[in-house]
Amino acid sequence: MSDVIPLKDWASATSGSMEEFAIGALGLEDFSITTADAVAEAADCGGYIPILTERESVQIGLAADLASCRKLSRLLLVLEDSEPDPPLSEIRDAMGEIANVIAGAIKTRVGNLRTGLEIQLGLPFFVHGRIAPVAGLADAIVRFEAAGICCDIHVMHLPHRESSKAA
Amino acid sequence: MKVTIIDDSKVMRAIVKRTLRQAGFTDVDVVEACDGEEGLQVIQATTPDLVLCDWNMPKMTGIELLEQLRTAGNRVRFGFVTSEGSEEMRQKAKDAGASFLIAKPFKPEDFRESIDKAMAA
Repeated sequence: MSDVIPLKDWASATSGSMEEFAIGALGLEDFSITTADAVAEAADCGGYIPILTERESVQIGLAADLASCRKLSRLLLVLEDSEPDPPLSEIRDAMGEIANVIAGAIKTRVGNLRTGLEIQLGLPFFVHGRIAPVAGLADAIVRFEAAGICCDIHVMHLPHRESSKAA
Repeated sequence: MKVTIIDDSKVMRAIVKRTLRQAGFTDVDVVEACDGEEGLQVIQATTPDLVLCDWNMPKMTGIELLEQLRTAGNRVRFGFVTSEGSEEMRQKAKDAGASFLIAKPFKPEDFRESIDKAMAA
């Protein structure tokens, strides 16, 4: 059985995956990816997806305010300035899909760190509000900012009980 | 060319459709399905030339759908368009009878190259 992947490696994979996504899927060149101590107060909705290995559970959450979710959705859908905003149902769908694609890239990057590690993705979902880490759960925040968008990628990491004892 | 696009995300189905056009596949008749179960019905009813399918979906996953099709003797050209592109998944897709696996995010050139190869086979 492989070791638990440290939170810093999940966070690093998240930064790299977000950068890849911003360039490859959103077509952005001018953006910043930094770390933050806490999820922005204004981030009151977003897309979440669970990742599971044999030793740990990780929740990846893209938390942002609705305006940033809307802008991210417009970029993903490549909407012209003259086109109207997508309806809320499509914004929810787009945020879940962004979380899904980033989680897929994280899986590939983390998989490269541990040969043979089995990693499974869950299905993405949209949340009005925010998923907060429970006590004792380690978390890291990767902040993505571009063109009026502020989106915090919340990485919540929970080693399974047997893994915690062994560590 | 008749193409079935199967993905539980309506937004992603729209992006796949747009990318097909950008890749030069302009004369395409697209039918959509939102999960593997619906995809199976659509494929059986419409006999497409090509299926572009997500992997992780509710009800029936893409790989389960492909396995059911092959077990039933359906040889439709089948490609995955999915968020995961590990070597292990590519091998699993190939073993199940998929022509290709395109990982998201993707470019029109990825579609052009993979689909051209699949259609020529």
